[in-house]
Amino acid sequence: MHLTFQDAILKLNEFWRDHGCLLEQPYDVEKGAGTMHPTTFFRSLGPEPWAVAYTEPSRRPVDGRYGENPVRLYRHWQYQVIIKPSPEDIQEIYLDSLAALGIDFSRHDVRFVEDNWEAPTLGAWGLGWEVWIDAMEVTQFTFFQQMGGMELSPIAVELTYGLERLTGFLQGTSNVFDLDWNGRVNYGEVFRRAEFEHSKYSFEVADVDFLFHCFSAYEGEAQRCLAEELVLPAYDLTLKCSHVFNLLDSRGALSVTERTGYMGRVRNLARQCARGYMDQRERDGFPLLHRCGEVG
Amino acid sequence: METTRDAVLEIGTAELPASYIPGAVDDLRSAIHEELEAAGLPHRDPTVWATPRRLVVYIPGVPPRGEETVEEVRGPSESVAFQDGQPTRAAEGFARSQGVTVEDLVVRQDEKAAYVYALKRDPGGVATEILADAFSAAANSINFPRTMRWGTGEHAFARPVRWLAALWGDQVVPVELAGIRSGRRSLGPRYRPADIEVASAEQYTAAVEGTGVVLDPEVRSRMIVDACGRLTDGIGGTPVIAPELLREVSFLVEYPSVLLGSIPEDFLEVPRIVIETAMTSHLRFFPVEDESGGLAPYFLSVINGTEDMVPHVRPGNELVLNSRLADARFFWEEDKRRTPEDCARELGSVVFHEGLGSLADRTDRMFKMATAMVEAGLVPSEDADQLLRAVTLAKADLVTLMVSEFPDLQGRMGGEYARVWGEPESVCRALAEQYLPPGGAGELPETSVGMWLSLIDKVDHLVGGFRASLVGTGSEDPYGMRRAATAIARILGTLEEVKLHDVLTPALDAHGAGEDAGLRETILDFLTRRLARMMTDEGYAPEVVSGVLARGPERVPDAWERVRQVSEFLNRPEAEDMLVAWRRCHNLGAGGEALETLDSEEFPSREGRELAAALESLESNASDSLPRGDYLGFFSAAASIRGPVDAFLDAVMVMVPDEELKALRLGLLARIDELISAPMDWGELPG
Repeated sequence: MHLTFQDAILKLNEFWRDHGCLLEQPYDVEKGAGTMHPTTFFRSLGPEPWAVAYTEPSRRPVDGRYGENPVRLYRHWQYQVIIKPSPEDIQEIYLDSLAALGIDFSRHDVRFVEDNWEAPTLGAWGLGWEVWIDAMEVTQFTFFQQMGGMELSPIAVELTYGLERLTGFLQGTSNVFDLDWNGRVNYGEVFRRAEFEHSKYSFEVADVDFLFHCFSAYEGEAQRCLAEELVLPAYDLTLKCSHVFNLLDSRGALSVTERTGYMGRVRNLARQCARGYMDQRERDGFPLLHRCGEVG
Repeated sequence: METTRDAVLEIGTAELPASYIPGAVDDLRSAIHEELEAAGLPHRDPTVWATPRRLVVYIPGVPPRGEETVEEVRGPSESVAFQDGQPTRAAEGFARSQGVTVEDLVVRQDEKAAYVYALKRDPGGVATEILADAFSAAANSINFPRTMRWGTGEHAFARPVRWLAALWGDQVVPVELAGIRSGRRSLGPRYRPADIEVASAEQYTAAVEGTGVVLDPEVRSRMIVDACGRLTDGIGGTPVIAPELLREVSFLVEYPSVLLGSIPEDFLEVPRIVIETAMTSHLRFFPVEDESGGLAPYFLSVINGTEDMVPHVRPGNELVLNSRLADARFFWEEDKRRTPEDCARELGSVVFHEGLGSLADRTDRMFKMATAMVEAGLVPSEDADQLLRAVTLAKADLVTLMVSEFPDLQGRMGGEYARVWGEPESVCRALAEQYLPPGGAGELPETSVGMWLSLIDKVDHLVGGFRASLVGTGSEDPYGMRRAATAIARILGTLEEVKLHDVLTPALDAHGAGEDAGLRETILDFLTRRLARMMTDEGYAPEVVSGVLARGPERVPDAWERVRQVSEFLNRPEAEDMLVAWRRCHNLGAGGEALETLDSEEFPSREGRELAAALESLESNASDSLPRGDYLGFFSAAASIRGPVDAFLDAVMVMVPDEELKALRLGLLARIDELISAPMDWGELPG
């Protein structure tokens, strides 16, 4: 079945809307994974139920290949679904979403392959699977166990669809730049130039001293916000630190020990943000607590 | 005889990690066995099956109740319990305390007197109740490597528990696990998701397998092997099926079908190990060999479902594999353009570890070690040049694109690139064998140059690890220090003439720590403890191992010989004589200085002269048998010194006032002690 890139997103939106998810939009700060969207990072904490779906661009400077590699990208698109507490039949619901995209499981081989997920800069980890269809990995499926250094209960489940892989499977192509975006324009025509420029910037041009300066400046500002109990601005600045760290990494500017040190500094901010958020929600009496089933 | 029924427990789960399943099966099997034995519920042999989504215990032949048991509890003596054939108050009280009536009291006569016994009959529990407890205990006995929580977060299991079917005959056995209550409902496989109503335990297998599940992993493995054979017969090829991969794949599917896919022929220009790794490591496909044993342009993929799915699945499988292979070919072509010198230059900018410099520094250290070992004549002269060349190239592949993409190929890729660079075959093979034995276990390098290269690599790793304080705690071995030590001990175990210090000294020197006696001692102790562990793992008694290693593991093959021969000797009748002789000499002789020279004429008593003569003859035996490694021969000879020792100590007073005579006699005993306990500290044995 041929489905354009944008139609895949539309179908997923419709599907998850019908399954009670609140549809959010991408968050306007650079991030390395959809998990970093505040709607996932914060809302997976604490006892309040939550159900949300959104697309999210994910920037990973070290994965950039100047737009030359058919499967590697500086920035790719994730479709994220977060539901807390995780429904008992979440795997079946997820498979229904693939069926809604036209995948017939009496013909295709679906596998849930063990995967342990960890995001050290967020103080987060979880267990779950990579989902394969005919050996193509199309989704990461994770039950969060910890976020922002806090043990979670109830547990949120996160579905991260790799939109390029998924539509690649549906369109039968392994070259991401050939993906049909809307029936007239392909993925390469929309993003190849961006892939080249961001790769060149991340690997060759980014000024290391400037980046080191940015990291410390964002970190200091985040701490100032935290002192004022401004959790959300502090978190935005934490995301800035994380992206600057990723750029430093792609510039090869960090030794092994330095790398660990910088990751620890981002994690430290993320933990304080998580704690600050929890304090606020607790003070407010966890307002969404008894609205299970209607928050999405 | 009551009719027996079968019983079954099916734990339905979200997909379990394949690597967890064999352990879970073992845990369930032993727990169910213990539980049913303890509860006295008769049954025939239970079977445990598993798929990624179900753990199943099937127990045939279970009666409705457990066996009746009678326990006898002794009470008062007959004379107290009965008077004139009538039960006394004492008897009534005893019966009441045991929950029986006086009719259940019997009299039994033992050697001294007659006592009253209460016969406590237990009719045996109801099968469904016993099974409920046993199932619950068995399910909770599973020790998964890691567990997770889900939903409300109250329960933990390897993956979420989804359903629980538990039956004895047609009755539901009430069990609860992770908040799920048992019933008679099960589920079909992913490719045919149907609800299954299981009418009775006896119909369980047919009901579940009828939806397209194969419960027995061994059967799934056989189906995979058979199908692979059938498909490759058609193209005149042979499947390459590694047993560990087959086992893993059998736990990734509930019903295996095999698909034969193809790859473009020109990918075969890439080295075989790369193609095999691309197929097996992530995708879990099996490679195919052609008639001449080379790689054929095909692969075998095991799918979770029936054969009619094959034509639909094949294009996706080929797309994924071919894009990985296209990547690999790109890496191969790019890497080949570089020379060893290009790579060597890059090694300088790759940090190996903080405080241990770059990969270029590591290569330099290894080169210094190799040079020192060659100069000391340890390395066979015909291998020397190849070893030095191999050491120079050892880390070059770590900066290639291929190894950054497939880290498992380190070393083996080095061998491939060396071949492209026109290096001698022995150098290529040595590079490929550099990281053997993998993780300390597994096969050793086959070539002599490979053996030396691997040894030098591991010793540098170990010494570096100690310098940078990277030793793990508890069972953790994050930096692979124990694995390196095990590898060193195993390689040295094949080198008869090489001493530990022969390899340790050049390594310490290369690290600029040649004078650091404390570091040398620490590393020696670490290696000795690894060797001790390997020996006890082989089944040798810990006291024998520590006794032998107390005399040093200077040459590893010799330490193994001593452990083997001491263990064998201790089972011989003459061991007792040797041990008595040694202990008598040791207990007294420890207070003296061993004689430097031995002259039997110095001893005033006949017994003294005879003992000295016996020692002389034992020493001459030792100088012949010990260098040959004939410890058994020496110990047997030592056993015969017991006669002269006993005669001497029974007849002669050692602790005499005459200091000179006392020293002479003590010195004789000390010298015997030293000789006998040179290969082994017998004091480690329990007195």
